[in-house]
Amino acid sequence: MIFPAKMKEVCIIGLKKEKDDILETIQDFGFLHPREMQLPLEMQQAEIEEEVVSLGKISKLLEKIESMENKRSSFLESIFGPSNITEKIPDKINLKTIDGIEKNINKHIGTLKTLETEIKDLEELNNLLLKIKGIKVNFSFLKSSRTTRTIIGEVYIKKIKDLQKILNQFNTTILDVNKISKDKWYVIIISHVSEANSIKELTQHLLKEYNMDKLIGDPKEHLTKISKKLNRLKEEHKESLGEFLVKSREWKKSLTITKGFLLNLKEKKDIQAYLKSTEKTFILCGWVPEKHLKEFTSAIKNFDCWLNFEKVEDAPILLENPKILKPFESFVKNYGFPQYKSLDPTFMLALTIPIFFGFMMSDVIYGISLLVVSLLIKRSLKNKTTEWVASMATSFSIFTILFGILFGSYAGFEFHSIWLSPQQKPTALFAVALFIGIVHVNMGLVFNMINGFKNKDLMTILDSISWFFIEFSVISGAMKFLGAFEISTTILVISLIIGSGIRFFIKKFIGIIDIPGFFGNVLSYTRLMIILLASAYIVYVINFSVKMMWKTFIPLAIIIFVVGHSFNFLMGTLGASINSLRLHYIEFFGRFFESNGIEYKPFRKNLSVEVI
Amino acid sequence: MVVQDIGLISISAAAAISVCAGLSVIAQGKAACAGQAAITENEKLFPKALILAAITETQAIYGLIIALLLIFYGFGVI
Repeated sequence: MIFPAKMKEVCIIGLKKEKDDILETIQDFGFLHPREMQLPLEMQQAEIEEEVVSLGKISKLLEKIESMENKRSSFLESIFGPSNITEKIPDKINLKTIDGIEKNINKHIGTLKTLETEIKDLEELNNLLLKIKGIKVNFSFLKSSRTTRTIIGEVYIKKIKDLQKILNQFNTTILDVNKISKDKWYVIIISHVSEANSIKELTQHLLKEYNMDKLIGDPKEHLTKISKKLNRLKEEHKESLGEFLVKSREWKKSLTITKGFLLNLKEKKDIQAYLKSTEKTFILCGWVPEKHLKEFTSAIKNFDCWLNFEKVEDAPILLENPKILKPFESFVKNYGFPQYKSLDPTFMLALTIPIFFGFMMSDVIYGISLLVVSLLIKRSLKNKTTEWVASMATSFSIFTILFGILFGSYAGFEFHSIWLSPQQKPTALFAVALFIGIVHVNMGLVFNMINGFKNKDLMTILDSISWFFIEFSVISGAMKFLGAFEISTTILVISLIIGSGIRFFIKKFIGIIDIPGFFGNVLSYTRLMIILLASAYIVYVINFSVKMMWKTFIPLAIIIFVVGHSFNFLMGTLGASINSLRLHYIEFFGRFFESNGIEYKPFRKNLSVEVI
Repeated sequence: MVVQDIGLISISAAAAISVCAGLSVIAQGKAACAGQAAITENEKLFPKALILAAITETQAIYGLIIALLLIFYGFGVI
């Protein structure tokens, strides 16, 4: 739990004739993370080409289905919609079924696209007609004749005089002018055939010409016809899309299973890149978690191969934590994987991230609201992400309620506070925030020392010790200045010199320059107090407005209460979670965490896939 | 507390928060913009982009601390 899983480096030397069987057994075993060896890139590509082509085709088809699904589903549906289904991957699949599915998908999408294009064209025409519906002339009369040309377009009102000036130079008639929007007019110009092109060229910067080719007959009649056709096409599109989405469920399932099957095949071929071979033998090296070593040895022992176990200095990282702490692993993974012989801070994060969040939110009613939201999400349990969000929200809500009770805050109304009232004693809160900062940063320093001992790295240990000396002198000095306790100035100066000296010894001048930054990090924890107070003052303003409104207009008071608190709840949740994470990633991880570990990815056959 | 100081304290507090928040929001905008571009390339960068945008907020928080300390001190809370 405290350190990543212990690994053993294994090298398997086997006969080439048994290679496929051995690799299949290792894939079925599913715990070996292979160590990369050399193989020309062209060879890898040539061997996996067939699977890659089919995989590419499947991905494109799945994308097409998803793009159609997105036309129907909303954001809320993506969270509370139907759950994902887990399907088993069979041992054999007929790849020819993909071609049949591809044909069907393309046929349906083709029909839908044709309908969409028709709808788009008609909508454009409809918009144009709506603009010029004031025209009382039949469109047939506006068609160009042997001697005349009709130009219809829109012009900005402020440019109408410029247009008039240009038109005055020609033998033209303005048949109709009318307003289409706040700042635009439509204009119908009749000109002689010989002058039409010159007019168009000279007025193109002023007049946006309409395409009137598709307009025939009476404008109002035409508009009714178009809107009827548009409604019919939209209905047809809706029906086709519905039919496609029903059929696509089965196609999607089949494609996802085939994709999983092909990925297993590809992985089996990919492993060739990790092998080195002679004429009759091959060697494959990798890492296996120590707890699975026995299973691995017994799985391999049926073959004529030789196993060699080597001492591990560096290995891929497998984070091992109890089920309750598992969701918090993603915070560590997002930052990067720790080194092999370094601490896995998940257990610490599982405690401090919710505490910091709870401290910043600290309201019983908000905590209960968050708990309700988390339970609602948990009920839908659509996929792993929603499951993760729900578990986070639950842990955050517990600490929000707890701190709410300690600070006596209930939707901003103050009742009996068990610990302290943030608004009445902000200085005490400031001291608490600083104290949390000092403890948290020092935990980071302790972790750094543990990493140093584990890796037998004296410089890392000294780095932490130097900070302890500097911290002692600065914090004790500040306490002495405030009159909290008495301590000899000589001791403080000596402590500061020793700390700075060690830092100079380890990192030269950079080590000394770092010192103000360290105390800046501690000061950064005051955001715990700031965000709490900011939220408390916003709530105070909301509640004050509600109180004032309650006497005059009760419905408005209720609206202010609901909208105001919802806004503050959303902003508070966002602010508290981001700042809680930030304090961990910057201030805490900065003291000890080096994120250059490699993720443990075993060579494994996936037995099932999740169909979304 | 001398009454005429209240105005000065309020102006100082307002200046502390507005300058700090105003400048940090410019940097936050740049960081968020770059983060958004990075997310377009690789969706997995979302948490890191979010954190990078939040880092620039620190200066605004310091400004708020100064403003609050000024107000608490000025109005006799501490």
